[in-house]
Amino acid sequence: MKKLVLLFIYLICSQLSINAQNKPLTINFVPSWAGQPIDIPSSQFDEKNKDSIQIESLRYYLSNIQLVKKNKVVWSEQNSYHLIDSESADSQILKLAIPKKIKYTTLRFQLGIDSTTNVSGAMGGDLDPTKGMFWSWNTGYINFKLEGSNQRCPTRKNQYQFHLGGYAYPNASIQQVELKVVPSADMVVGVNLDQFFDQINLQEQNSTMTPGPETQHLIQIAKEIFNVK
Amino acid sequence: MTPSSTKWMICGLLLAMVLSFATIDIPFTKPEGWPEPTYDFSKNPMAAEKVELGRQLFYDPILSRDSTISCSSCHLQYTAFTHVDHDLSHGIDGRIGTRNSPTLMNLAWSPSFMWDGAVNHLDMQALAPINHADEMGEDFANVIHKLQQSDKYVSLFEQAFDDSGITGEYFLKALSQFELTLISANSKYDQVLRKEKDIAFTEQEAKGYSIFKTHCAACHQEPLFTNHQFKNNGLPVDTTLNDWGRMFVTKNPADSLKFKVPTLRNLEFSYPYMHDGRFKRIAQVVRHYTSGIQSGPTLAPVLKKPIELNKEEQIDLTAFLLTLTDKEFLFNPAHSFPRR
Repeated sequence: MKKLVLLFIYLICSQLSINAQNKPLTINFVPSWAGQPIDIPSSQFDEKNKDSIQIESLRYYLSNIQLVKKNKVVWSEQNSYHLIDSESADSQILKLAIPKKIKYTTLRFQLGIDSTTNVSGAMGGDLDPTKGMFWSWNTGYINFKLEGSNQRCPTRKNQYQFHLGGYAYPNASIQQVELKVVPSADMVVGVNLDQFFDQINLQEQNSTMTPGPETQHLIQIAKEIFNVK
Repeated sequence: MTPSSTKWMICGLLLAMVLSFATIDIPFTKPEGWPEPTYDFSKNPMAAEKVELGRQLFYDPILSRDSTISCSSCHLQYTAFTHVDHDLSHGIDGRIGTRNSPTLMNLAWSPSFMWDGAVNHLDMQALAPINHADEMGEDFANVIHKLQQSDKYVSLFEQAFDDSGITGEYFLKALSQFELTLISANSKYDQVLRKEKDIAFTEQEAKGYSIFKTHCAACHQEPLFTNHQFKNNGLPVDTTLNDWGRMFVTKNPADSLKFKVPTLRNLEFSYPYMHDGRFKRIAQVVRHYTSGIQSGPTLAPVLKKPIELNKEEQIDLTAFLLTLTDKEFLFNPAHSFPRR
């Protein structure tokens, strides 16, 4: 009976939302290097160190997407969890439906998964633990994952692996990102990877796979690489 | 409303009616006088088909890389779902782990899992042994892939979760459901407390119960016989393992050498004892608490003052602990290997 009532409510709500006249908003998250879009896997020249950095994969969670005007949330996506995977072009394009007459100046989202979701058991869709963005040895989602190699890394096969996560105090790593935007049906958010590597020393920082202060430091760098031209 | 949307609504209602009868809901029953469970059943409502699917998964070695290890390899029903006779549990390729597998009982009340609490939710627990190189040596995504190729599981998942296919979420929820049914609440102790007819503690057991309440119940809180906390119980460090317990998870030196307080239910059959299975006999455990406690900065405050028990009192205490055996649980066919 409960299911029946819920379905009834759902049907009525979906009818209402069609009538409310939504418009599409597409946000494309494009990895870039020195201002140019790149396709991952990719090899990029590092100006500062005069060598090349191989980027094998970039995956991260975006959650709680909101549109904001004068510090007031004018729209927020329900059940807002997205895994953005550089290897899947589809995942990099978010298709949202927002009310037609809405005005906003800022796009706001969380880089990572909130603590409540982290302690709520098995989830589906982008949050399914089969997606490889979940730590099994110490429960929790990996918020941001960047992997590749560079000759400066004194590691096996010169690999670097940044698996940034952790939800519990004092190692929470979720970050809020706010970007000034001009309303448009198609938005492009650049993910400037050169900016990330500019701020770290691969010789010393190359393998981070547990929650802690180093993760928190790195994810604060990661949150700054999102920008809108 | 247009005629076509009305038609869709009727179809939807009919579909909802079919779905609501597709699985048989079985309510989770809390034993009399027990606290409310921690597990949030609203996110994973119990159904007979899901429990059965979870049971099939629990006993199936398909979960491991080479189909040799199932959950039950280290969690055998007759020993309260722990690994009998091994101090450290062993997994794939005969590899030996660093801890004694914990018992599986009354998990709906447990706020964290593993000896160090590294896992925060029952649903997520199975991921650890599946992905661990020394346990099942598999990759969770590959387990799901293998199940998707199996006609048996395609049909079992369909029965349990309607038509949505085999996903990691469904796998974990079904396995949780089977584990949630592993309730042990019918030991002699329980029967005595429920004042069941013709059941009473012997004089020795009653004395032991009183000793237990004085010296043990602070951590091994009734009725679950654990307070679910992490404590350093004064075990000297095994230098072949150097296991610092809870500190591994929190990175906080104040958590050094702390391990989860285990339940004492069915301890008659769940030997060996402690996180590294160092004690084979209950008498050794009692002796540890009376004369073996090693002091240290993180030692549980209640253990700072030695527990003094003479020989007779130690025997009385043991007699009480044996009343925690629940044969109905240990031999319940609903929990055993699914033969069909």
